[in-house]
Amino acid sequence: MQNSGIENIIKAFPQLLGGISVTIKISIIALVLSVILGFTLGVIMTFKNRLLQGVLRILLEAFRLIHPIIWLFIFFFGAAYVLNINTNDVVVSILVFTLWGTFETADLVRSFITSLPKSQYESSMALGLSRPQMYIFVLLPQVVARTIPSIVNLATRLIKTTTLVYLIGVSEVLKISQNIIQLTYYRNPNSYIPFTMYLFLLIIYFIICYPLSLLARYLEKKAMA
Amino acid sequence: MLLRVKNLKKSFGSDTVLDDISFDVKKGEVIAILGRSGCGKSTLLRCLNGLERIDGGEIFLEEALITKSGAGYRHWTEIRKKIGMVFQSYDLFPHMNVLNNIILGPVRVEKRSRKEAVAEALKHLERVGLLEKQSSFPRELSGGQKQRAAICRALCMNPQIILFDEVTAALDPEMVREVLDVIKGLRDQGLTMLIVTHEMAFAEKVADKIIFIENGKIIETNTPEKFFSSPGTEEAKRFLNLLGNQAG
Repeated sequence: MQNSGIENIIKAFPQLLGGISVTIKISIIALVLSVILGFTLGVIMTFKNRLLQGVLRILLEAFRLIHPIIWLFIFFFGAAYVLNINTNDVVVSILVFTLWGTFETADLVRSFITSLPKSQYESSMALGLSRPQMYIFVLLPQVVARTIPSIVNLATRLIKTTTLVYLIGVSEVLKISQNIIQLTYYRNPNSYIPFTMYLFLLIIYFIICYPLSLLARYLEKKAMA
Repeated sequence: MLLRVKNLKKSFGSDTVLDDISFDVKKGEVIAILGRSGCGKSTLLRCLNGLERIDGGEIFLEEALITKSGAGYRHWTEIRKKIGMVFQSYDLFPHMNVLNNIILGPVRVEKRSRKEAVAEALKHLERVGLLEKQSSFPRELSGGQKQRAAICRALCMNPQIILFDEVTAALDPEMVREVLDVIKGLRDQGLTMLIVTHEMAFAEKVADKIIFIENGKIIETNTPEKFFSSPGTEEAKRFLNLLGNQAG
């Protein structure tokens, strides 16, 4: 029991909480921005402009296929180098995950809008609705409910993936955990702290993500009904 | 003349679907457009309110040319306030109840007050026998009820003319009648209507004039009495014979 390292975790609990709050802060800000920008971009992606479509398609694939770590590095080190500015690690993290989430949401919104029956567009037009009115009153309201499960799902993925920001030096929960492990190990080489610490992290992530996953499943069922 | 179509031409790619179509619609007139499936009659209706772009000819509404080249979405928005349309598949908005479906156009497009729009909507709903369904959602209605609500939605914009595109084609036989009765009622009020339909008996009863289209051309324009008893063209005879055989 002595070497489990639990008391080290308890002692460092305030710092760990701080780390969790950084993770959650980045995730929530990125999520909120992603939803707002994603809906806007999703609508734009339904416009019939070839050039615009092409550019957005390329960006979408880029953010989907290239791993967030690479984007973090590109923005963090690349921007610092090219623009010669001091990049703030948290700001860069939020930026990268917002872009990621925005394209995910946009593609979702685009696909739901284009899957609505053509007659919904035509009957809106026949009523004399302007294009913005058609989107605001007819198309988007039919889409919002269907995107909610996927957005909750995106939230879980954001929370999990934001762990990566420790690689550019953000003091989020994983980074702090590793500090605690190192410090404890240094003082007591017999400590099981790595095991205990990671078990603790596992529980933390489970506590945050499982309710979201349950919520997503519930909403999905409701949307199907 | 309320509506005048002159030499209208429409093609999809190299397919000419409508060729040299000309006809006039007087105020208060009810015209039934007949023809086989795929003869271009639905496309014709869709050209009249800009859902399809035309490739030649002109359309005038109250003597004003509405098919100027380069006319954009906004131009057609103005025209569509005056030319209402009811579709085969009803196309109510599924996320709104019946009343909100009907007042969307009046409130958002015509900027009328909600109160006034509701009052008018209820008047129309009462006339088509759907007053008690005002808060129902489209999924809770039968096909015939949906179509009647869709007709109310078009009426509430107070259009000068309404286009009916095979409005009973998707309905079960027992619901066809309730919709046709509503259209008959509108005729008695003097509403101008263009009706594409497969219900011959209905066309005969309700229309002032029959336009018969085959292969994208107007073959015969006649009164219903003459068209159904002694059609003036071979094509029309064949068309009616075919229907007669099917019925028999």
